[in-house]
Amino acid sequence: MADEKRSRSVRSALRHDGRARLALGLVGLIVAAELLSNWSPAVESFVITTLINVMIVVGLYILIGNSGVVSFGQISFMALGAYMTGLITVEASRKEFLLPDLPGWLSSLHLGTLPALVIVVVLVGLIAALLGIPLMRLSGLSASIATLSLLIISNVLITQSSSITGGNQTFIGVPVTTTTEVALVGAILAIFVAIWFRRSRIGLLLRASRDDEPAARAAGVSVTKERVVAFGISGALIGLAGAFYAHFVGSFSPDDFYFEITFTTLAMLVVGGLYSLEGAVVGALLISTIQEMLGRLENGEGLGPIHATLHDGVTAIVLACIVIAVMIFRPSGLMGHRDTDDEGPADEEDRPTPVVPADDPEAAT
Amino acid sequence: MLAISDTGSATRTGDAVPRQHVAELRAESVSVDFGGLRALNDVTLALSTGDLLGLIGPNGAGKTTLLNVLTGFQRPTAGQVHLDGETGSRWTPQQWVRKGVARTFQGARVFGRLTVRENVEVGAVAVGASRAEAGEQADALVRHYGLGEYAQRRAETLPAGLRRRLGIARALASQPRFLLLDEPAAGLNDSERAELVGLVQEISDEGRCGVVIVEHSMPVIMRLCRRIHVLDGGQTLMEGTPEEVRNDPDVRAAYLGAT
Amino acid sequence: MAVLLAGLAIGCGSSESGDDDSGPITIGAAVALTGINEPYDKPPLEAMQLAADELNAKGGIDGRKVEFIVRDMRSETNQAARAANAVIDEGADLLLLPCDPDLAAPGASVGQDRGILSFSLCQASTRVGPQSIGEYVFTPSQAVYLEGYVMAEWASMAKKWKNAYVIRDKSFTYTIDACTGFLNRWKSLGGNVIDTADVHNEDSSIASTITDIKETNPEFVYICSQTPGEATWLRQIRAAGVNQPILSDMAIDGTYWLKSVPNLSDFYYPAAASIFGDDPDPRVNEFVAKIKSETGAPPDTSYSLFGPALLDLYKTAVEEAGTTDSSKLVETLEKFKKVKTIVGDTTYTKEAHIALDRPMRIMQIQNGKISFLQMWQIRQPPTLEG
Repeated sequence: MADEKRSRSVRSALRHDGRARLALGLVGLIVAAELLSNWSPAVESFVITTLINVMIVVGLYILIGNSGVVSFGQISFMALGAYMTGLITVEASRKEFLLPDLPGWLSSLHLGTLPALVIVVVLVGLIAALLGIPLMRLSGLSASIATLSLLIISNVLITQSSSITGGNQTFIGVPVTTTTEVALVGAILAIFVAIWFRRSRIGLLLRASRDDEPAARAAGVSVTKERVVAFGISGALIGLAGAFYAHFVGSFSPDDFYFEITFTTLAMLVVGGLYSLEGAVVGALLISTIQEMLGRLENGEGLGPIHATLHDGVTAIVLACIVIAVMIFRPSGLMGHRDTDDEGPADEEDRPTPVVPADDPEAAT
Repeated sequence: MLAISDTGSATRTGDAVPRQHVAELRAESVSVDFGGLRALNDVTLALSTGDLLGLIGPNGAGKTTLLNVLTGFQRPTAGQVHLDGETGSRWTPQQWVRKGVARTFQGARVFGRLTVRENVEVGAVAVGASRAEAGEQADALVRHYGLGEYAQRRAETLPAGLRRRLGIARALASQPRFLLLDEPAAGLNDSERAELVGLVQEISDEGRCGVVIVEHSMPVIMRLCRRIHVLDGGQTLMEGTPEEVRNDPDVRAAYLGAT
Repeated sequence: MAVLLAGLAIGCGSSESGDDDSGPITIGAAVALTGINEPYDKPPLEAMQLAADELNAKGGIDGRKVEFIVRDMRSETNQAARAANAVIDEGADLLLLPCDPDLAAPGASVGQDRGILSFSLCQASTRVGPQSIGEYVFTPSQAVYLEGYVMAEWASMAKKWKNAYVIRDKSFTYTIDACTGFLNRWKSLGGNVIDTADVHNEDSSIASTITDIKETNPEFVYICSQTPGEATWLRQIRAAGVNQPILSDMAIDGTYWLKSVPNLSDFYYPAAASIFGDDPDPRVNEFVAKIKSETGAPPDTSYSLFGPALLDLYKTAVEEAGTTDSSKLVETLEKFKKVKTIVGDTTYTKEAHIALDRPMRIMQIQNGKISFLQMWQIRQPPTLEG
């Protein structure tokens, strides 16, 4: 009896208290990632891929969720981060061998993963902000098309700058340093950056402009300035995710940063909820997991007791169906507008019950 | 008295003009063309801090266009707008509000997915207040406008009357010297309307702010305003006291015909 | 979510160690069974499986049978690492990778990280190897540069030609590398290059280049390219009345394209083996016949023979090292000096995990028929940089 009451109040606290959800979610994420990673290298690689997806989708959320501007171009920054860290961390002798036409200073440059990551975050963030200055003057469909062009242009630049990137060739020899722990740090860092930004002064103004741009302008919001900042922060995080990816796979090619991942990660955000950080995380976890399971079946690798072999392409179709179903039945995504710093629900019937567990100081706000 | 009256400071808007100074907002022979259509034709209107001016006219008379000109949403085709002697015809909406001219929109236009408190915070933060200042101000305004129990709810869940109040609270958070209200009472029921009249009266009585109110509801205008400006077909028909307006044959013909 | 994760975890229980030195030897192929690289990966893999059946019938390697696990990496770089991890998880002692260097590299990195010996089925780029990825990475193929070197030496030493006209297909790393090899060796032998015309595989006409050839009248044309571009151009060159000898690279091996250039003559290219029944090594001819009897058709190209060659190399290494332990095999392989394989004697060093000095067959096409012309043992092998 007492137990039941207690469990109900814990559930109610989770439902209504963002911080309790955040704490529990992060603990769950860490425990699940660590447990699964010890299972086998294949599962570990799934875990790391998923965590990198979380970083990317949270990066997308920072821009799209707060500003309402849908960008198809953020994966450009993933590519930039990957190539940048590759050029910095590949040993000089290896670089000389693989990219003989590299400019001298780049050729002799060789730093460890950590300084490389710092350089990536700063430089990619700056470049993203600079690109954001013209791009973020646009709104709606024209912004989306312009950012899509950014994706295409960056792909062309990568494949054509063969003296620096190796062109269409696979970029190889990046030190493999992204472990589960590193990826966890990245994903959690992304989540905290997103929480901080959402609550920040610029995040607040940006969300106002997302809900009603003219009214926000009338209130004194510049809109463009706030969007540029979000574009830069989003770019920096996604660039970092690209660097993590490079240090995870060790070798990558320009196609790894093109339409496929752009649309998969956007689908993750749409499924979870465009305007919710929790949605971004849940969408990334859910879709990555479904993708992995179906991919295993497609490859004939089996899934526990299931040994069916799926036809090639089933994964893509199932993902598309999930996106369509979510858009029809829950247009605001699985997590709706729920957010970690919502202190209370919006709907009348969803009002917090006055009972909060007295022994839970977190819930008793 | 408004609880916020002490939290503001002259340094906030970056404006050297002290609060007690009587400022003037003025549209001088303003015309606006939309393609071939002349929406405003040679309209002149002025008000000072402490004034409460009603702006009326039939649909399409140019009332909202005039508010848009006075807040940077519409550039005048001819004529000028001045704030305290400065020419503001080319200012952006952002500049206007930072110089102390705030507005509301028809239908309130709250930031739906922000909480009520955040909506008000935006009003202060967007013109340069620190988060701490904005928070204090938002709490005070939210409480004063009877929105306290809804502070953490998403604004889109509020009923219409409360949304209007929120729209006004948000505009006031920028500590304006002029407040332009676009049909604040439209669609409200009688008791909500009465509340609204009280609120606007209070803002005006405080004397820190000149108010322009665009309104269709004659009782609201007649009760509130000492001066009424009547537009018709983009032109000024007349300006005068409620009594003069009520008795003017042209106004009766153009607008009040039924009454 | 928890249920999904649990299901996933259960799905991956079968992780066994490949370290025990008894029981069958497991060869894990993470190669392209679908996608654009399928035509390159499937033939050598199937030929290798055929050779393994033969080997198993004779008792296997040191009494251990050879088994295959095959996972499709779908010709996608981002599936490559996953497929490689999957076969290693299933206990692969040896990792097989795609013929394309770009598709092989991610899997090679996985093998390197997990300490598992990897062989590409037939990739020929020196970019993927101990310098770029690590010591566990090998290929049974000759370096692309060697193909260019062989033709340069043959033209200069056997034919005594002096003036070459070079057509370079800039569309692929492979074709660029072949030209680099040819030009480096040709110039070091004192050969003269009249001109180097850069083209792209999708160019439908190379009329201006043909005019140039007619005007400059070289003794022969060297063309580094591959189908479909090369076949189109050969037809145009001969149709324009340019009858000089044409030399090319191994990518043109096979008969599938010949009908688009009727009665082609005076055309020469290097190959790993002759699949036309006239190879000087009778083992090649026997194996080609066996493929024909097993599958009903001869192999399309001599690239298939890299499969059995790979098995030759692996068998010798395991027998010499007395173990399938990858690090010991690497040590053994790096000491290989002229080890016999079906495609020729193979030498590896600490630096070169690719054949740099293997003799190659020079093939000729006369009146639309391909035949073996002569063996060529390189006098001065290329370096890893060309």
